[in-house]
Amino acid sequence: MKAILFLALVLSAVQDLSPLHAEPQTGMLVGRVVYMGPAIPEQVVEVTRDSAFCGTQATLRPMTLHPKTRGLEGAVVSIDGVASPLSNPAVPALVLTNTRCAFTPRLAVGVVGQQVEIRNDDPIMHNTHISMGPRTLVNVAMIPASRPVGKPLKQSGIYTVKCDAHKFMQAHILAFTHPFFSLTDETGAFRIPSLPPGEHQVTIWHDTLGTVQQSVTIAAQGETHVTLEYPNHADARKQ
Amino acid sequence: MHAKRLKYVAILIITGLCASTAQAVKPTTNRDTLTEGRRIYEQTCAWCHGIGGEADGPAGWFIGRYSSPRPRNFLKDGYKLRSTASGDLPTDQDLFTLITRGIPGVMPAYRALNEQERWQVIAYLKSWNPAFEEEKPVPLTLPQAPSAPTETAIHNGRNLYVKYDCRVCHGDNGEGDGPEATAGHLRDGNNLPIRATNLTDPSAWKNGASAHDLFRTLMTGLDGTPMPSYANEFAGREEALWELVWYIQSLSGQQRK
Ligand code: HEC
Ligand code: HEC
Repeated sequence: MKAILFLALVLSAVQDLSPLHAEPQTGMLVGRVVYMGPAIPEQVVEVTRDSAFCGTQATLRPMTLHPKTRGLEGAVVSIDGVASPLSNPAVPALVLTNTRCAFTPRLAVGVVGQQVEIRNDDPIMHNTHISMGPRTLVNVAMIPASRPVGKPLKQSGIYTVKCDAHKFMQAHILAFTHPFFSLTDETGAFRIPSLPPGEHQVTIWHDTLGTVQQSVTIAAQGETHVTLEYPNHADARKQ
Repeated sequence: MHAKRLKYVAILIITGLCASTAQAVKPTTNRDTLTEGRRIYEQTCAWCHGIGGEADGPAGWFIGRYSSPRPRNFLKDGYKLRSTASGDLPTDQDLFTLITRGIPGVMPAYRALNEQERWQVIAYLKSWNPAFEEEKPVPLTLPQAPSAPTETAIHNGRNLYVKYDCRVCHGDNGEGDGPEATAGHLRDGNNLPIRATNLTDPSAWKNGASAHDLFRTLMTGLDGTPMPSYANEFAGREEALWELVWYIQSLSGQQRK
């Protein structure tokens, strides 16, 4: 009984203090991912199935660069190794839709435990096959007007999304165990808030260019600005 | 032996784990289980699956390094032959059935191991993959097949075969010669070319050829291959799924039996 009382006192004390204590200083990483190497041109592939609906050709874009800034769209910037409990389990589902014989979006980022919701808007059948390396996360047939299928992301890492019936359809999902990640916009820009000050290893991933890492030092307060440059793809691919 | 069996049965009844014991009663795991499992594994399975479970045993290479299927890698791979939803691990009972039946053409049936030995080797191969500790695989509800098929049911099944695009991979008449298969587009989880099963030859099927087995294959899909799960399509429409199953059986003349 005494012990409980004591605990209660300690707890209330901690609570009282917390507004002063618990606001540790954090900084924000703000920047842009750029690529100065030669752009990889679009690839046109022939569509041999369901051409009446999908068209006879599909255009694959290995990279999307902003003409002015050389910013790289669709790169994922993340910082691992910062202790942080994932505080928000109620994140909305990542919706992945089969539309006009392509996945929308082509790249999604989320956290472990988050639901992926697969939909099909097309009048033809697709199968949505999500895997990480040799392990299948889910492989479901999606006939026209199927109801959506949900599956939670099981582990962190890079998932590949394919349709085995339409070989040219591809997408990726990146899953993290922390909130310190950001997807670059059409100008290559990103921001990652709430980072503890100090040196961090930043990982940048792009589906064509692969993975590169760089260290940054986050200032004790405010924004730390960086430009992260991808090496020429010919070099990047070797690793 | 008999007394031992009775003891297991008693334990199971006491702990109320009566579900899914139809085929064999799983003994409780103790310290010796893994030691024994390892001994059996290294004598029997390592040839193909590798001493460390990484699918690199000598016979595994001999089977063909670049042809599908590679032996399962017990550290990283998912599982094809399950009673669980797509992406989920198999239940212990699934693994037991698989080891008892083998896989036509690629893996022997292990009826020569007694039941206890099969359970021990299962415990050992599971110990390599921490996911077995974290995830609790739940079998899908798989009903018993209703009465014998009618001509109309088989005809409806044919329509579903067309509607659900089975032809894309398995071909118009189920011979495994669909356009995506013949174009060489289909890949397995190791990115090796894979064939679509010939549905007119049940002797080569991996997941069993009874109506009940086919129902399960279509509900679960075969993970690590292009064969998708149709569970979402058939949810609440079991009758239709039986029709499709009967149509597939009719391709090999099975339904007349
Ligand atoms: C002759 C080679 C060979 C031997 C010996 C062998 N296997 Fe296999 N096993 C395979 C191959 C090949 C596969 C993959 C089949 C496929 O993917 O279609 C496989 C797959 C499996 C699977 C995965 C099934 C699934 O659902 O994905 C398990 C479990 C398994 N084997 C267990 C064992 C055990 C236990 C033993 C020893 C008692 C054993 N195997 C012996 C070749 C072998
Ligand atoms: C995207 C291609 C694809 C589609 C669509 C597809 N399958 Fe398959 N199916 C496969 C492949 C590939 C295999 C072989 C897997 C293996 O050998 O491990 C297979 C295996 C099977 C098996 C054999 C399982 C066993 O026990 O060996 C059956 C039965 C089957 N499919 C039925 C169907 C039916 C019925 C449909 C339509 C409702 C269908 N499939 C749609 C690719 C497909």
